[in-house]
Amino acid sequence: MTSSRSGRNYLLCGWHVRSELELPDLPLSSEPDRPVDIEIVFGTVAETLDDPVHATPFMQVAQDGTIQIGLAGVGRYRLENGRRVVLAPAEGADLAATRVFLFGSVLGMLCHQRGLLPLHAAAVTIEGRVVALAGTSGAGKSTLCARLVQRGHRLITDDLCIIDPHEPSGPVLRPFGFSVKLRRDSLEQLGLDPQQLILNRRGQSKYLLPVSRPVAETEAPIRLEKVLILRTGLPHEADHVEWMSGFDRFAYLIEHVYRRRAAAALGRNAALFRDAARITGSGGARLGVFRRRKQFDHLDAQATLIEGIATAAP
Amino acid sequence: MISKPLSNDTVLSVAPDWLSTMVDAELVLMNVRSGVYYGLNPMGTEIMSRLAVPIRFGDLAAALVREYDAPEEVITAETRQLIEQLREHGLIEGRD
Repeated sequence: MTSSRSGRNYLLCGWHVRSELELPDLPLSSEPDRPVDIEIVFGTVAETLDDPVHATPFMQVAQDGTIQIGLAGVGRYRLENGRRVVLAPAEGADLAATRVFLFGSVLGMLCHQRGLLPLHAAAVTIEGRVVALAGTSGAGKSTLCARLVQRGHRLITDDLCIIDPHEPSGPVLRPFGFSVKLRRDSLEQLGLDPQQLILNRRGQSKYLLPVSRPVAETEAPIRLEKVLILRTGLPHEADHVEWMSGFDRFAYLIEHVYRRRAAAALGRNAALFRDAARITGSGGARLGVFRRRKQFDHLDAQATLIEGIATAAP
Repeated sequence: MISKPLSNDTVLSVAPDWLSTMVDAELVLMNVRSGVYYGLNPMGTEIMSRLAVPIRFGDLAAALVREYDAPEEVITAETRQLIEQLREHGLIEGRD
């Protein structure tokens, strides 16, 4: 094991995190006396949880709300009450890969345990206004997000948009992004050299593109103003955004909640309903379906369209 | 679940485990156990709002007849159909 056993304190999504796993992408905390919100420790994690109320080969949820996530070659994580993560890296695992899952599925489920709403979306700020790009895996969130970052906009997150729906002024985002995960073909189209980048995980052709000047942890939370759902449009149709209202606005948002089925097993349905209602209710975020052609040669025109949407009045 | 046929004396109420909210003037409901959710059209919204307190089907239909400018038999038939649909989806319960 190459990581320090003593642990260091970091800032993540507004939380004070003490971690035995080194997290070089996160800012270090300068408040040693501040109480720790989440602790990440190395330890033993059983192969699966006993008596799960929800189980897939990747994740189990127990009656008491404990969650276990495991991935062959990477490791196993046990999430206890949103306060403690026990990590057992797989033998010979690359700790960079254990970090990737920590900032993906583990972080998403910690949000559920802690009462925040994780949305499967990328997000950037454009002239200080937030646009989230939601969509299923392969919808093109990261590529579009990377292009927007290349055009000078600031990254909030590339895949997991953490929403605090409880702020009295309206839903806000908790930034934590520092890289964008991209497929090899996207890299080439964006003019990037894969040789210069880190592989996301061994055996997977996804790369991590580090981002300069992402929105920092220490900045004030940013209001979520607009959410675009990425969908593939018809080939003969121009790229366009169709704004949603009523039930559709609610439904599109709730369908993109990160790992909603596992969250339901945690007993989160009622909370997610209230949070989604708050986010889509009056004074909440606008939501549109962005029907777009997926060819790369349209990427810049799409980025321009998003820039226009972001800076238009809410 | 097989429901008894709807009569004027059937007392209708919103089934337990449903949460509701208005989004842009449309009623959205979710079952907190199953996570299933629905959106209702204006007529469904109107009916659900009238079921906040349990009500006899006959009284509900009569109230709607007073409210809307359409033949009684049309309103009663449409209300019956909608109530049956809402019962089928488990949104409302009826007891005699």
